Amino acid sequence: MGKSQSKLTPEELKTLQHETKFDKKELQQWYKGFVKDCPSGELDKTEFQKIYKQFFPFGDPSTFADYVFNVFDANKNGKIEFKEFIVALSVTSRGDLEDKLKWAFQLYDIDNDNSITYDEMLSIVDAIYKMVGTMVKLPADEDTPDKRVTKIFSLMDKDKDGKLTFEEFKEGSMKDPTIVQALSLYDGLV
Amino acid sequence: MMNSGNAMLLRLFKSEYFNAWIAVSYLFKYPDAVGIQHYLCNELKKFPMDEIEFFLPQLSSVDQSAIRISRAGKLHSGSMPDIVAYGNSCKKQPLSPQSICDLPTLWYLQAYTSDFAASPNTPSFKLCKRVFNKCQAIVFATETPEEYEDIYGKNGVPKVKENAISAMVGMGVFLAAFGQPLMTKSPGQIAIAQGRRPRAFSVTDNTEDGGAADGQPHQQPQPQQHPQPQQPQPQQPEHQQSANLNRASPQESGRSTPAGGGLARRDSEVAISPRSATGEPGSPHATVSGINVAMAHNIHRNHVVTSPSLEDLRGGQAFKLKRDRFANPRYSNDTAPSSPVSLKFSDHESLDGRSSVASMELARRSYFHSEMQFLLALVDIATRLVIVPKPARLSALRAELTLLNHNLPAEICVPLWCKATVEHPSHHRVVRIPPQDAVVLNSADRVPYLLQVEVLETDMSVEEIRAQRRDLEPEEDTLHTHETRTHEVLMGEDGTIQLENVVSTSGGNDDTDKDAAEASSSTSVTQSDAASISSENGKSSTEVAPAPLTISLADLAISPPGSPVPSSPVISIDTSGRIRSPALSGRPVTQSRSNEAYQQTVMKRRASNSADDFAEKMRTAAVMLAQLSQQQAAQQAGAGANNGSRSSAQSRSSIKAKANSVEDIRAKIIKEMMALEEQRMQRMKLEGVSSGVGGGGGEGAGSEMLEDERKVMANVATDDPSAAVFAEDWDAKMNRIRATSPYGHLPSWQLLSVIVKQGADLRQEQLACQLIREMGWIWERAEIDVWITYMRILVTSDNSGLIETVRNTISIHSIKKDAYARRLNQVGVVFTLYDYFQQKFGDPASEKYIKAQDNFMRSLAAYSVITYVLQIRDRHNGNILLDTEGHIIHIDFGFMLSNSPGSVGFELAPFKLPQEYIDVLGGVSSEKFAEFKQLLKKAFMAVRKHTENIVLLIDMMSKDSKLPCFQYGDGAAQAVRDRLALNLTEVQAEEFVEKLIMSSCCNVFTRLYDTFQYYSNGIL
Repeated sequence: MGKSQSKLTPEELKTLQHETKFDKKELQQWYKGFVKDCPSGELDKTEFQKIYKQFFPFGDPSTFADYVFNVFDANKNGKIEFKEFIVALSVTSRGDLEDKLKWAFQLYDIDNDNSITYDEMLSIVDAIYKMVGTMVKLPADEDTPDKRVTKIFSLMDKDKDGKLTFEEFKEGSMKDPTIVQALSLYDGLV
Repeated sequence: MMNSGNAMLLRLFKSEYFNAWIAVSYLFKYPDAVGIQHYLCNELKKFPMDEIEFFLPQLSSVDQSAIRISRAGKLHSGSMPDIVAYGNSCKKQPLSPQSICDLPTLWYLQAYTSDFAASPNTPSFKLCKRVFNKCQAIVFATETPEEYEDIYGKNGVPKVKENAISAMVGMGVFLAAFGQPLMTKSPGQIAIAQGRRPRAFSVTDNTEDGGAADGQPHQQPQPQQHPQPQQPQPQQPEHQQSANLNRASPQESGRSTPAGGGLARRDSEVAISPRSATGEPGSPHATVSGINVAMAHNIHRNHVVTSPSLEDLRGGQAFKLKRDRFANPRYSNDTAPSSPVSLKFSDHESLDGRSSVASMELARRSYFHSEMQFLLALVDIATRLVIVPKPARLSALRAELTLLNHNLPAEICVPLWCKATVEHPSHHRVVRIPPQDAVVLNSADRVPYLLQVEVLETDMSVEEIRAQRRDLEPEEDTLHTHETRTHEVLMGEDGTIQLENVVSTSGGNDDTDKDAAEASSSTSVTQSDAASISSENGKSSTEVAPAPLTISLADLAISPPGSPVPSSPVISIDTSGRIRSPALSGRPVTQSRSNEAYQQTVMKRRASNSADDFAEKMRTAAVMLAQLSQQQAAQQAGAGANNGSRSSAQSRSSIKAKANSVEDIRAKIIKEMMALEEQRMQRMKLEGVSSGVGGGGGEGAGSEMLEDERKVMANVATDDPSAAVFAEDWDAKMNRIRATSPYGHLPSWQLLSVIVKQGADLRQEQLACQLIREMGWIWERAEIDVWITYMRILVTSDNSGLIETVRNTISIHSIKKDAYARRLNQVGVVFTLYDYFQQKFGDPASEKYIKAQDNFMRSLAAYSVITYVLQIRDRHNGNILLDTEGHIIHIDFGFMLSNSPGSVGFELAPFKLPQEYIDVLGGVSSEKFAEFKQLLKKAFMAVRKHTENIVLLIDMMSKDSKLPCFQYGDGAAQAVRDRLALNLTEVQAEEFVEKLIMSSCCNVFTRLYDTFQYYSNGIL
């Protein structure tokens, strides 16, 4: 994908139409938006963290931004390109719950071995808590990352092996309406 | 790397010390931090309305400049719309809308928009425009159902735009859903809100700082086509099309608000023909300014509120909640009172299948429209008075107000004065403006005027109020009601006729819009393209059929009361300057003023009330004068700038002849006005006041009034009319007006007194009053017993507004003038304030005098600090008032902070403390003077302790400000700090104040300035 072209080529359009749920016009519009925000056509980790800092002024979002970046960066070249961005957006806004969960699972499965260990979960949850800071009042049984992760595992780790498989992850998420709701953030909005 | 600074911030925001002030100041300090902005905006909404209202000027300002600072569209610009939306949310009750915040906001934004208009390609301007348009949209709620759906999606939630950055944050939040769903709610909302910001390249908006928009050549003003049809910009071109479909078959639309939607779209289409359709004048200033014209092309003009037209005023319909005619809520952002366009819709269009929600919407929108119309009408009067010869101004003003009175009571309030809050959303109703108590204030080249507004603090509907009206002249009243009804019907017909007219002339434009829209949907053609294309089109049609400015001299001829007066004034002066008689005019007489039935109605009323007759003629004359000068200005501009146009050669050749004829007409009109005035005075002598001024059947309570009128007239005839008016005790005046008002017997009756100004930017005055108010709070909290007062100021544009009058006050200049006139001074001896105090309050040892002296001392201490800290200049005695209790009050803050009058460089004293003040206090060695010094010190120290409160307000306003008080850049705030001597210790600071007082004492420069004012401006 060219770095500063103003439009997607017909070939690129075709590929993306296939890989996302957007039509041609939407893809072109989003492409323009993307290039406007990232004139170089790509975004590196530092820039990505900077963006998060603007949105989370009361906490420290850098660790979490780091993890999120890795999920976006599907080809692991250290940059987020338009294609990676739009594919992710397609999933978050128009994917079904299964797709969404599959994509989210990648965040928590840091070492990419198809299961989430207690420590992996703790790293992510800790990063989330740091990012949001004390803005949100939490119930007593999950007001620290440790408590939250313990709670997750007690509810969702059916076989008590200290790991969450995708099936457990999916089942647990679907049982929790607040999670389901949070996963519908972009539904109907994009 | 925990950002401890920001964690501290949050602690501050959550602490008990957090208040609106902190919120606003941090909004200002962190323009880039999206999160902080969102948080604070949310918090702001939780504060009481009046607290937020206080900060409105700053909020508007912050919103502009904050965004200018940050680049690349990364920031949040939502606060203003949020705030407006907040006000909006309190408006669920249709008839008691929460306008106190909204309209002023809109006006501020308008003022700023014109500030930035000189450089229309800057991000500031674009942002300003966007926010302004958004506010407009909120206030008037103009989205059609179709637009609504596009913006909000199927389920009524606004969709996000192509903002990649916020989308990336949003997706991150999405990923966090599993880890802690409870934490994703508010960040998710921020990401979405941020994502909703429009993008430059999108078809719908080009207001972002965008490459595409910047590349477009800016539309040049076309001076010749001054009464130019303003092309409303289709906000969403695709919807324009669907709206068209909708119009074809309104019934087919299954939406819950079919009428509202279809109508709104129609509104903006109809607005295409504004000035040419009616013969009313725009402002003489409006068209000269190319900027304004240019601006018009870039701004959505689909809400344009105009001041009401003559026949609206006659019919008593101008401010009425009209279901069938809130057409064209055209908001004139060129700030000049623009020509009234009164297009009406026949009933079936608006009543058709409207759900209750929609009708509530309609009511609300109509309310805002009326409200703005009312205020514009007031400002318009001031504009027209400029052209009226001085001796006739007062009559013209009263004539105008008499006409205005026909439209009252109405569901309008005077914002700011209105006590409505979120908790008590009941607005007062303006019921009457007593014309004989209005007075023109003398001013160099503007005509501000003072008027009293009668309001009722009530929730009663207009009908209920009318029902309770005290029938002073029952017969007349019945007649009036009857007329109104007739008129309404006629209006309906009127509307239909006119509507067709308009559609036919604007058809071409419509197509152009569509073309442009299609082009832009596929490429990055932006809206300004569409604007320029369609305005081209508009121009050509203007040239083909020159706007008929229809005036009739015959109309001015004085006819005996009761005789039929032709109500359609017709001389059309076409663009080449030839005067056409109505018979020759190719175009039909505008509107249906010549409608026979209507004329009969008018005749009937004429017969019943000769004052109306007079009022209308006077107004017609004023309107004609305004029109003439507008024509002239436009022609001159046209001659200067227009080279390539088809008609230019012709028009240039005839320009001289034209100028002559215009002069002739003007002279004639003025002569007629003088004659009218004479006639009125004559009749008044014979028949009493009610025949001279009146209307609505309310006034005219007999001989007592006549006396009063004569008294006022005599005073007004002198140099300084304000003196007479201000000298009357407020309570006495209120009782007098109440006694003669048909609504005076109602318990919630109240009287407001305001000055309407046109041609002055009141934002600086307002800033000054705000700062004074802030200092007042500081002293109140510190329990320092000083005395101040401040005026409420309503800014309606960058050159107009309303100012509250301070009750029971008189300027020191007037006091002295009056004294000399009545020879109260000993021969050859200067009359001082000390003499006045003795004369008014008695012996210096008397209780009355001591009380007044104390009041004087406490107010003087406060105003000394204020004038010093803010460097308020031009402190001659015309700008210093004294109230009946002895308080001193400073007004007129045209010169403060960094600017001072002229190059004179007088006024070097820290503040004004002449010998006469000291004498009033009993001399430098008196106890009272010692007390004064002590109090002044305490007041100064308190302000010093809270310097930042003051400085922040100034700082926020000074960013990119065009206000004269900031003409020396950003130094103003620092200079305030310097004057407060922050580097000194407490003890040193007290010594510092002591020195200030001593150097102010009988300062030679103070004396010099007063002498200078005496010799140059005759101020005593």
